[in-house]
Amino acid sequence: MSVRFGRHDLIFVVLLAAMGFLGVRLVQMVQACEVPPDPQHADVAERIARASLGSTIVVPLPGRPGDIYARGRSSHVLMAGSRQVPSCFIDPSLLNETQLAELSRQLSGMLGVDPGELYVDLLARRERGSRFAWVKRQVTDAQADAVRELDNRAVGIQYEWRRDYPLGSLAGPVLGFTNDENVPGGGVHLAVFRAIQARQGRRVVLGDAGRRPIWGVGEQSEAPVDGCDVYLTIDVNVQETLQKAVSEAVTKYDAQWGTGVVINPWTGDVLAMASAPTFDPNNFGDTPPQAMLNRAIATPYEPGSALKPIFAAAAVERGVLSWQSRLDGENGVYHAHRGGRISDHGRRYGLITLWKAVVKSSNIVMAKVGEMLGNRQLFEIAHAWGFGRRTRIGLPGESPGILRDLDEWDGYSLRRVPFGQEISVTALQMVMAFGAIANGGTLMQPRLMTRITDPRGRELWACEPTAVRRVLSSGVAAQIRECLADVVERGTGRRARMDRWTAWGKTGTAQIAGRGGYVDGAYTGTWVGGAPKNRPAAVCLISIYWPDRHKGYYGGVVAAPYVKRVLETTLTYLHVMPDRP
Amino acid sequence: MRLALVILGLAAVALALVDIRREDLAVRHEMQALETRHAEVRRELWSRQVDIGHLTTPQAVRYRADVLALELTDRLPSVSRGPDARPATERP
Repeated sequence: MSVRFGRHDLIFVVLLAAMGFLGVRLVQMVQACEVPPDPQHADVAERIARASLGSTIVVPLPGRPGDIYARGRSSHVLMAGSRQVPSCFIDPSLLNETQLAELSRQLSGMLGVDPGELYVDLLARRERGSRFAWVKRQVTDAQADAVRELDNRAVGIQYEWRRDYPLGSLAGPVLGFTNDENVPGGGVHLAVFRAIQARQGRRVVLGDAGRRPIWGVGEQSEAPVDGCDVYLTIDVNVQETLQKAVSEAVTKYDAQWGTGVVINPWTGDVLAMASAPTFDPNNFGDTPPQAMLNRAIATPYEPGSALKPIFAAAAVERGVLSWQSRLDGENGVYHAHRGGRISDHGRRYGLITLWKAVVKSSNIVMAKVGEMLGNRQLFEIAHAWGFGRRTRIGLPGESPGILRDLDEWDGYSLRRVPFGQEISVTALQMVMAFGAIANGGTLMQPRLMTRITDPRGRELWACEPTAVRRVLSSGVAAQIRECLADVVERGTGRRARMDRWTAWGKTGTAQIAGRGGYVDGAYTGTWVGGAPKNRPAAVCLISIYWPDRHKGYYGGVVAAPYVKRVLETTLTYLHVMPDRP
Repeated sequence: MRLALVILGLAAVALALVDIRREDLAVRHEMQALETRHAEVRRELWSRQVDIGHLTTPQAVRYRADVLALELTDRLPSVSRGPDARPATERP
């Protein structure tokens, strides 16, 4: 039996095949619409693009750089944030000379740029084959809208990051800055750059012939990753008080610069760190480099008498002397054998106790303490208390100070290091050393950053208070605090006396070394101390470098009143109970 | 009969294809618009965050307290002026 295929059968088979093909194509299209986000399918979008429209545009997706926060009264306060600002760009290759001239004229009216300069610049770029040129960066939203309304495919708006510092110049040298190209310039920004840096994403978009986006291709797009947020120990309220105090002192005494630090002695937290002159990171371009220096960590100086309590306490701790040991004040002038001439600057003391020598700030007695300790012990003490080495606060540009190698020490060093000459320290080293006196003898590592969190707030890194070493017994620490309280009540620091809290501290009035010796009339005035006496809640240092000697230069004059103000405000702010009747 | 069946089938498939294509276009376009809007909202959010940062600085808070003439009592001045002194902003 033979099977006969007629003409209609053939048409039927052909149509059936066509229907089958269309069905398969339908299935393919449904699958193409449901491509899973898998790299092996990434080329599907490309194929769709080529097959259907033929044009893809890569749009960058910005990731936000991380924020930097300080402590506030009840919550964190933004120190550095980021916002996006529009910038106008042009593709000169898409225009002929006439169009370029016309567009330059239009853009100059909108953006306030010179039309002639813009035209010449764009023409030169066009001839070089350049396909991108900024017309004006960081324009206003209204200007950006006006540019968009031009509806010219050669001109566009691209958003750029601009770092914003709400606190202005309050902690400029601590924070540092980030420039327009997102490059960090010192301070916390440089220290945590990798953490706060964001990873840009991208969106692949199918576009029409006029490069207008039609739809996005999710398979080829990448989501941006925002930067991490950094939390500092700086308290904006304490910082503001300290910054004002230091700036005011520098202005009043016409000093070259000043610096100040406030710490919590129990945790090593840096509550405030100020330098004057300071700078506003929002306008870093107008700032001289000196104003960007974080003087508290970067500039070592001779501390002068402020160092005396440390060596006196160490001598007592080692059993070399007691507080009641009597030493000869040599009636104001001491000619040491191979040690040069040492004077008490007009004050004459005979036999006085070590306690009184600290209260009255006798250089001669401290020189004799040095003689009794010897160079090796002096060096060990200085090193143990953190001088001559970086504190590891985690900021770039930290100086270790100057503590010469022991084999370079001589008879002069022996008698001068105990009263703060031939040694240079940073303000941070000094305040941390006094922090050890405050907390019962433990040298703490300064802590500036407490934690780093990811954009969802999950903690990635945390820094706990860290003790470096014990440098004093708690008993000797309490005794030296008592002695330093006497400095405030009866000694050189009367101007640091507070009405509600018992203050303790020490002045330092150090000559400034120049080429070939000390510079006549040049001093650094320092006050470092804390309150209350029995359980100090805060320790503050202010140093004023090279004030006008005719206006005042003693630490007790140029620094102590300002430390008093800072401590009073800080203790009130921290709700510390008064301990004075 | 068979021809009518085929034609109907072809028409159904063609209609389905066109509809899927149309929906695909519409959804992708909507996604594109949403992604653009998402970027704009994020941009606005970041800007607002920074604005809030500006408004919560101690200087800004103090300025607004002054402008609003809030009767805030500063505990410190009364202390430094001695036990008989009144707070600076205390009512008579």
